This record gives sequence, structure tokens and C-alpha cells, in this order.
Amino acid sequence: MTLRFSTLALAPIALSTLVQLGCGSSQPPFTPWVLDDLHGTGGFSLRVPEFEVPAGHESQNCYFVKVPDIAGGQDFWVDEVLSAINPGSHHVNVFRVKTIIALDPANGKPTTLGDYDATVVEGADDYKTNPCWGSANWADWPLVANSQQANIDELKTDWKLPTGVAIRFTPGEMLMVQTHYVNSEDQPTKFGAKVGINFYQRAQTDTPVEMGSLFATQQNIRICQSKPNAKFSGTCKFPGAVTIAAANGHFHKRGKQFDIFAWDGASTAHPDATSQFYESDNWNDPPMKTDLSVASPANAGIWWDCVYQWAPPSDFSCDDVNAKDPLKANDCCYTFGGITDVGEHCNVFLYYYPKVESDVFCL
Amino acid sequence: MTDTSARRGPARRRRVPCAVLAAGVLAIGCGSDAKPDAHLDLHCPIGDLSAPAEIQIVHQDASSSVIATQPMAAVPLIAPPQGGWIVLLGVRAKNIDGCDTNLTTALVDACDGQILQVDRRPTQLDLGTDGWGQSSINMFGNLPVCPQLTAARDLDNVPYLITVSIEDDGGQKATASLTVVPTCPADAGSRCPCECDRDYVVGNACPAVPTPHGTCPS
Repeated sequence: MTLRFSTLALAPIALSTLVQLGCGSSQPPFTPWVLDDLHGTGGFSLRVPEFEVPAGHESQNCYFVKVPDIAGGQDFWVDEVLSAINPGSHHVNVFRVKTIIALDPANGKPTTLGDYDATVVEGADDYKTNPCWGSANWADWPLVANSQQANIDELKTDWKLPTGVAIRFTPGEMLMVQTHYVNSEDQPTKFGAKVGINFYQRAQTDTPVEMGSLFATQQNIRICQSKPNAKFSGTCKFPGAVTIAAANGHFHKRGKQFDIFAWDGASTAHPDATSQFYESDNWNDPPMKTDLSVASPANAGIWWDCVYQWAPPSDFSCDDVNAKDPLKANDCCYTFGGITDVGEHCNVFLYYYPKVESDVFCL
Repeated sequence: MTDTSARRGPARRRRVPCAVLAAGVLAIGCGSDAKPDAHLDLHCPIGDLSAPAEIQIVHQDASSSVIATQPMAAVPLIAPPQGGWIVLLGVRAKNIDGCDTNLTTALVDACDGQILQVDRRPTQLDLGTDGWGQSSINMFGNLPVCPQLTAARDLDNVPYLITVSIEDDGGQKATASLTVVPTCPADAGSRCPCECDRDYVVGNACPAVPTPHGTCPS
């Protein structure tokens, strides 16, 4: 692996006062985020210990923590998820842990996430071997919540679920909080890596409609130097009639356009423009739509497109990209992979209700 | 099985012979990281673009060999990097642009006509000595088969309809369909039969003895 060190300077992570982004810069000031700490019936708070990401490197950490018992041993409902994330974050995803293949909570280092004991498997330049980078290890772990916000103007993502809809949690169930930081010139981590998430327990006592999640991905993608423009599309169906409440798309540095459409489930023709409910042209700060109310009838689903344009890696080299290509085409082809500089993704993170049977995976 | 459903496209752009474009590609590909705007607008006609396009379905086996797909053929289910099980489908085609082409594959339950999954991607056809172009080995359709939450039947060792369409930028297109049998690998430790069971719920344990659901629901 060849790393080219960028000019980014490492910043101390403990920032107690306002910090300007560069001398004379017109960029807005960085104000460290603050979240209320939730206790008792108010909900629960997770706080990832602060850490640094060296310039020109990426970090993907997998934190394991059990859902606390805040409802006398009973399942409880969350109707607001508020996350706060320092700039440089590529994503923060929260999953429910299911089948364990190689990424095992028991193999993590002890740590704490706020009030709660946890373990962590830390991934860095070892993306070829570290299980936290290996997505097959969490292929059947349902998504609970996520944020890709990495904007210095707005460090928080406040996801208030629709009225009467909530996420169910069971005390003792294992969650995995995955952080991915990219300290590159186009997604700098100037103020250290810092993540906090608040899960607010629903106050009402009636039983809400359960929120489900949909995770869909295009796995066999190739964006090659000799054929630099590529578009990949996929579909995913819901098990019944649902309402889509929130969505965001996820790709890496070659990503130019991410579109999601309602799909009738009956045609292989591309849905028309009136069916579109999500778009993003920003790989390093994609919007999360949280105000959706898209009705999807039975036997229907979504259609999504990922449009790419090839570009050379920033911190690694085409030799690294070629080494990762399973077909060894020697054409600097970006293929499926978590590290943004040498791999690509085409993933949909989507939330719908009512949850029917199970969360939805289209792999 | 060959199906033709071509239509004439709009006025076509400048054509570049394949040998010329290959040299161009090599020139772009050599040396250090080139900029994307160095890309040529490539075209490589295969056959007669004024004639209807023709296609035949092909698939890959687990060792990446390309096989002409026959009716009721056992098409191997392959494990991709993120999990699940897919089939890799491509085409042999002629009378179409082999370079500027999109491939659409779909999995259909013939019992009720429900489309379970669609995949669309760019493909490239490599010209063979018989005058047909074949999907480049690294540009096959990646059609997810298992798990399939909305399936009404099991997916392993059960017949399903696949449809494969190809369309070039000039509007030449063709579609073919076949009934095939997606088939899990034989190794005993595979989760494939479990994850291809109709009743499998992602994230749950596999049943010790899955109940067969291969026939059309009544």
C-alpha cells in the first residue's frame, strides 16, 4: 500500500472553545457539539470515545453495546434519534447484531459508550483483513438508524419519527455502532472523531406502529479507468403495503448521482421522474430525507440508481485499487469495498412502516 | 433460446472500429492515473445495426466459466462479498453496439408473474470468431436471488423465470427469457439452502429441516 501524506494537520481532539477553520478562511467556525445525557425512562445515550484519525488514512470502528433496561425488563419504543458527529465522518450506522461470522463482539477490546460497557473492533489501514471492514460479517444485521452528516454547519441529525411510529428495542439485545471516518482532503477530520447518539424513549403508553429498515446494495460494481462512466441500478420489494418515512443513499468518491424511485414491482422499465423521492449528488455529505411519506402498495418497492465517474485515488494508488480487484483487470477498477479511496458502494439506507415480518435486505 | 425484439434507433453516432478503440483504451490505460475526461465515446458495432438485434442468455458458474444457458438448466448460486446469493447472467448478441450497452436482468416467479428482483448495469460485448459478441466476464448482470423476503416459493432447486434484456445507446434492443433452476453449491456447510428457503427471515437462525415450498401456491 502506498500512502500519500496530505497536508492536513492533525488537530487536538479536545476543543473547548470555538475554532476557526484555517486562517482567514471564509468557512464557518467549528462549535463542538453538546448533547443532553439521557438516563432512566428518558431513553439512553451512547458516546463513542473521542479518537484521532491520521491525515491520509481512514478509520472504521465497530462498537458493541447491549441495549440497556430502561423499562423494567420490557421492550421499549424510541421515537426520536438525535446524533451528533464531528466533521470527517463518512457514516455512523447502528445495527442489531444477528449472525456472527468473523466480526465478534467477544473479540473486541473493552471500552465504554457513555454509561455502558462495550467492546470495540478497530479497523484502519488493515482493510483487507480487519473484520470491521468486511461487510459479509454483518450482512444480516438490520439497520436501526444512521447518519452520514458531516457538515460543519450542522453537526447534528435529529430524526423525529412520524407520529405514532417508533423503533422497538429489547433490553439486552446487542447493537453495533459503526463509525467510519475519512481524513482526506475532500473529507477532512480536522477536529478529531467524536460521535454521540441519543435514543429518546417514546412518552406515550399506547402501542405504536413499528418502524422497519431496508438495506439494499449493489455488490458487483466496477468503475474502471478505461470505461469511466457507469450507472448501476437495482430494485428491492417490501413484503406488504408500507409507507417510506426516511431514506439516504451511500456511495464513495466516484459517486456523482444517487436517485431512489418508487417502483411498481411489475415492470423492468425504469420508473419515471415523478416516482423519484430521493436524490443526492454529494458523496461526502449526502442528505438524509426524514420527512418522506411515500406510499408503497403491496408487491411494490424501490428502484435506485448509482451514477459514477472514474477518478484516480487520492491517498492510495491505482496499484492498491488493482490489488483489490478480484478479477485483476489492471484497469484501476473500483469494486465493492468499504474504504472510500480504493472501494465503492451503492447502498440504500431506508426506513418504512409498518415493519412487516422483518427488516428488508436486498443484497 | 434466442429472442429478437429489436427496433431501429435514432441516428447513430460516429463508429470507431474495435481495433482502433482497443488501441485507444490501451493508450488511456497506460501510465499514471489518467483523468476521466480522457475517455473516448466508444462504439463497436457487432453485426448489422440495421438488422434486428439477437441475443442468447449465458451465465457464469462458480469458477467464472461462461455457459450457454439452456431451459431448466441448473444455474449456480454464487456468494457475493456482502452476503446473500446471486446468479451472474450475460448475453451473446449480435446486431448491436458492443461497447455502449446496458444489460437488464430480472428474476420472475412464473407462478404469478411477480418480478422479484431487477438488476441493470453497463456491459461490454467481446466479439467472438463466430460474429457474436459475448458479455465481458467482468460485466455480467448481478441478479440477487436469496434471501428474498417476498418470495412465495423456495429459491434453491426450484424453477424460476429469468429475463435478460440488452439495449445499446442507439436504441437497438432485444429480450430473451428462460426458465432455469437456481441451485445452491453442494458443500454441506453452506447457508445457501437456508437463506433460499421461502420462510427464512434474515438474521434468524436456519431451521434444522426446512419445509419444502417449491410448487406454485394454490
